[in-house]
Amino acid sequence: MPCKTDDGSIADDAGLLRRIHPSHVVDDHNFGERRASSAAFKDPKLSVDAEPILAEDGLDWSFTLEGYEGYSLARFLAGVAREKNLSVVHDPIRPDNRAHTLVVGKKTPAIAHHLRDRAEWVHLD
Amino acid sequence: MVADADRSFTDETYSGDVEEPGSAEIYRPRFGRKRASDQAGSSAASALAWESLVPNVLKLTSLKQGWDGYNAPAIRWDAGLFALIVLQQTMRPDTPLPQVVPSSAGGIQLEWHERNIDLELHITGPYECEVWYEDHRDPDEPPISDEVTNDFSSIQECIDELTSRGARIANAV
Repeated sequence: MPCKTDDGSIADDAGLLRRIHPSHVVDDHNFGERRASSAAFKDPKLSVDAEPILAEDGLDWSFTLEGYEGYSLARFLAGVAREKNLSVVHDPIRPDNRAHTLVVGKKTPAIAHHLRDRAEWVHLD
Repeated sequence: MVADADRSFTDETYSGDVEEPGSAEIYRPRFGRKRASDQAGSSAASALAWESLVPNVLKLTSLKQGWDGYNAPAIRWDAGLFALIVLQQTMRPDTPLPQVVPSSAGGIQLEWHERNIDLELHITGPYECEVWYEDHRDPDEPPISDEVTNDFSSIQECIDELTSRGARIANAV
């Protein structure tokens, strides 16, 4: 299997969409809000969908949630991941999901918080 | 259940593996055989708090690969067991209960977001724990990130601050 690398094909300002499992929506009593747990961003090969590629195929964020009732959806930018030396690797799953992308690299607590803090809700169930 | 769990987690399973810390004056023994005063006192009381989380943790350890809708590994049962040990050893009777969530790396995360503190313990297996502590009352202070194996003193400090802050709030009212 060829080793895939960050070839820059996904721009820094590209939105990356990550489904958030219901158990990863936690109550933040400090700020009186529900937010994503940093535990949702720990996977060394974090799967996301790249929004520009969805758009090229005439799709939007709702595609990422299809079949995943009860899930929420968060967005962070590819450049936010690269700020922490993570690789953003286009990894299409054919024929189902051409937008599939991996954010590759160890997610220390600081890095997981960086991604979580810079993410925004696209959909909160 | 309380007595059995206490004995199996602290007095037998781990007592031979871990040396007691040298500074006994300021450090409560953990994992090693407990002193008689500890066994009779705070341990039994705090067990009531952490015990209520056992079903939550066990439920998470039944999650299979792909539980997060992607390809997350199954949650390791020994990560769950170690999470319970950490709670049993560090929680006070009046410590608020954490939120218990699975991690996409196959571990368990214990989270508190209250009393102006963010405290997270990410446990991926026995003696594998990452600590994240942020105090919003002191925004100039950077968050503390630490890796913990068998010395729970840094976790204990965080738990104690979280717990005592609640008492101070209650006293102020």
